Amino acid sequence: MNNAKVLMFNNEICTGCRSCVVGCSLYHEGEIGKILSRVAVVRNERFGESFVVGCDACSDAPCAAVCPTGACAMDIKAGITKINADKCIGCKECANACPFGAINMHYKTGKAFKCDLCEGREQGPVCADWCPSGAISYQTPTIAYKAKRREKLSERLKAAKVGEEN
Amino acid sequence: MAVMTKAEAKKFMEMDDRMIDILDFLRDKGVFNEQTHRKILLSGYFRLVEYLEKEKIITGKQAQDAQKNGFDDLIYALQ
Amino acid sequence: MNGWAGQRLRVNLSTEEITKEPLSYEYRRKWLGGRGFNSEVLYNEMPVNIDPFDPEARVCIGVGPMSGTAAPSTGRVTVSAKSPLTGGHGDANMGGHWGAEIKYAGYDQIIIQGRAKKPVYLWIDDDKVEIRDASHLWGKYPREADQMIKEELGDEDIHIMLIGPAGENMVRFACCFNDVWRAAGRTGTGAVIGSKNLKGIATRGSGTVKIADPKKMMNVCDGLRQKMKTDVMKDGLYEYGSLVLINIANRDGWFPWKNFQEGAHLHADNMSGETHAATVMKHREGCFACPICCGRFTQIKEGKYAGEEFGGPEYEHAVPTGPRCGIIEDANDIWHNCRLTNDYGMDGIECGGTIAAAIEWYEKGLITTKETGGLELEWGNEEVVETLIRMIAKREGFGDILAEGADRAADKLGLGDKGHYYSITTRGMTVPGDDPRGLGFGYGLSFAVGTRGGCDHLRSLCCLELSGALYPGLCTKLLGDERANRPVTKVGKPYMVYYEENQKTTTDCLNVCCFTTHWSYAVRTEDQVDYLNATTGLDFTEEEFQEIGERVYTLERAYWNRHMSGAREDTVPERFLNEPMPQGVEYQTNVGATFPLNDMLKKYYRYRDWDPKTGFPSAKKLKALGLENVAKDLEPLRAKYLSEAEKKNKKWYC
Repeated sequence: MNNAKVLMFNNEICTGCRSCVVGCSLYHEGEIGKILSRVAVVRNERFGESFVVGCDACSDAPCAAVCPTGACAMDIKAGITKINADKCIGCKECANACPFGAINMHYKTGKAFKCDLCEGREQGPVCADWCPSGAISYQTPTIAYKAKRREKLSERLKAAKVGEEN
Repeated sequence: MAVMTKAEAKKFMEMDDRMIDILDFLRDKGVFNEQTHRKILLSGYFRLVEYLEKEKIITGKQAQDAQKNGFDDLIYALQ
Repeated sequence: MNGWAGQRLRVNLSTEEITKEPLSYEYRRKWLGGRGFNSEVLYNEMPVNIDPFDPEARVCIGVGPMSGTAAPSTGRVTVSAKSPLTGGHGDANMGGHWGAEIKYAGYDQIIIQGRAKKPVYLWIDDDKVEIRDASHLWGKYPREADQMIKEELGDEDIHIMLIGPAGENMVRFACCFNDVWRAAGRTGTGAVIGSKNLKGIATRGSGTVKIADPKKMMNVCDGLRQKMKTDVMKDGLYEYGSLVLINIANRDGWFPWKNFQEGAHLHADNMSGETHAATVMKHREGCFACPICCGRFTQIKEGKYAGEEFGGPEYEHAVPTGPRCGIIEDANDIWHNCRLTNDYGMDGIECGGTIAAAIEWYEKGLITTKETGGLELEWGNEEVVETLIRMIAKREGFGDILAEGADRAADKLGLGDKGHYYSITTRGMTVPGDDPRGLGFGYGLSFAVGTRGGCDHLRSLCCLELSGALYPGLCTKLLGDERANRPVTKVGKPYMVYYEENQKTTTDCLNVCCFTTHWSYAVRTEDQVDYLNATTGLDFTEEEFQEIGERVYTLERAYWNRHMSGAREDTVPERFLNEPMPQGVEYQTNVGATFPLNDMLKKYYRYRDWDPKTGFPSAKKLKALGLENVAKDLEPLRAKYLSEAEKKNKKWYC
């Protein structure tokens, strides 16, 4: 599970375009709309802010913990919980339990549906693939953190150098 | 296939904008009818070359060159 | 139904009647959507000589079959109304996310007619439609009204169209927005909306768009988005916004300096996209489903305007109340002026253009402080320019005259032809920030004939002459001549304008963003046909795609012809015809150029099959396009247009 790739979200660069939303709903549901997307975008247009909300692949997932039928369960190899629609009774406990609001109820079936990292898609999750800014990326967290440490370190070194020169 | 004389070709070569003139000319020569004239005009130069190749007014090689290099090659092929 | 919602919503603000009308297959196939639906309604539903502010005048809000889908950039909306600025056909197009919301709510079009007795706003909540009191919103900036409506309705995620105080005051070039900052800028649709006592339209759509062939649609959209990832134009737009054009404009001599007296300035870089990104850019924004994300959000950090923030600006928004008025040394002045036109709700292009005209009238001694109420109009005076913006929005003093637009203002002030020379307009609409002596001969030709008033970069958006060189072979493929891919050449331009006008029009009917098809050429006509067919399950061809554009464009042209506007009015501002481009900077590429309109105009008429004497479409062309009723309308008017009486009636606007 430590080596599993998951979706990582960077809200500093999210443009709020919803390319992820249209890609997700088209790919999984064959029709397009915000209500059918497993990833959501929140915008404060007045202030020029936008945020993307998706499944954070919790290691101790509340959604699986509260499921009464075992429909929502961790797929250890994939590193993310998945919902088995056949077992789902639509009780909404998983949607209520998710700290981020990343689970929704399907308007046609009444069952819960959530991100499954586009299992089986060769190029990986559509949302990360289509995201124009890189706000959604499909990465192994430990590798991402190593890169982040280097980036932040080089920023600090640069700032210190400038400080020295002054 | 020779559809235009050298003098006619020279006139077309000297024009800044040639599509409508050449289309009208070919229509008036009976190379295509009004309906085809309209279709080609709407869609673009590449459709003209496609049509002329299909009707064997120009060869496959001439069509290839015309698609690549534009009116200069096409006019040369039509002389 | 696939693609379309299949119905339009009609709201009569006088009677408070709200009706839903189904849209037949024949209608949708013929007019497609968006601008096509709107132009059809404007032409056929209103009496010819109706006043734009008459209660029975229509405001049409159209989205297309692609709106809300996964094709690149599908959030746009077309707003159309008879223009109070030009007196002819008017429409404007805005980005943002409202277009998707309207489609998700279940509508292809909204038609507003009538006039409410007091200020109201519409609340469209899927199939529930309500007219609500807006007295507490009247006078508010769009950003204020947006907050108040969201709080009142208890939902921060709805999308709202709004006008500002300028629209309420019926400034002839007032505009409307959605998502606070995304403007449908030109032709004064905001004034028409304001004349109906309508503050805005709040929308919540919880539906979806059905797709006929989801697998094919996924393949097509994925292919285009992969292509877009490495597209050079996308890169420039994403990084620097449309302000990426500033340094290019300066080099190629189309930077609008001092009302187009010159085409370049040494310090243009002060307001470039590169400088903007490094100094005041708070956020990059994307419209619905967009792979480009050229939107900006600006926060002024220093100087007397520190703390101000707003969405935008675009290139076209920034240059008119900036360098066109001689302002360039402190870019914060320019950003502030953009914030003002946003908050008041006015077309930045027309507002800045009108102020620049006034400054030139003052410079040339045509007006004095007597007319301006004591203001000394001079180039580069930020205090004067920003004061005038406020006065125009509030219709105060000299601002009340300028709020009429430059040509009507020139008439009100009795300035005659000399005054009109400096208005830099065609048919009453001022030129955007693209000097045709630089960008370009194709743009300039489309300025002369454009169907929303003329001086309009968006009727053709002839980017084949702007970015054509970045797509080697494209000009050859479409036009038969690669040499057409440069702006300052006549080669291939009449055909380029014909093709691009048709293409752009159909793009507006689909209501996808033309930056994916006309600036970036990553999405081609054949790609649009592919995603349209995958969505609708129909069998459009490239010919039909282009023909729909020609049909709508020709109908709009006939709208003008019915107002006795034709070949005589097909011209560009004389400055571009007469004055050779001076040298503004050392590296400027178009020094000495004038714009050779007449060499190209006659050939263009042949492409369109418009009678060169009247500029009216031929009866043959109208019938070929399925516009028999239009042919009937124009028949008696052809001779009238050529009559001595009409010839004497020189019209700067209708």
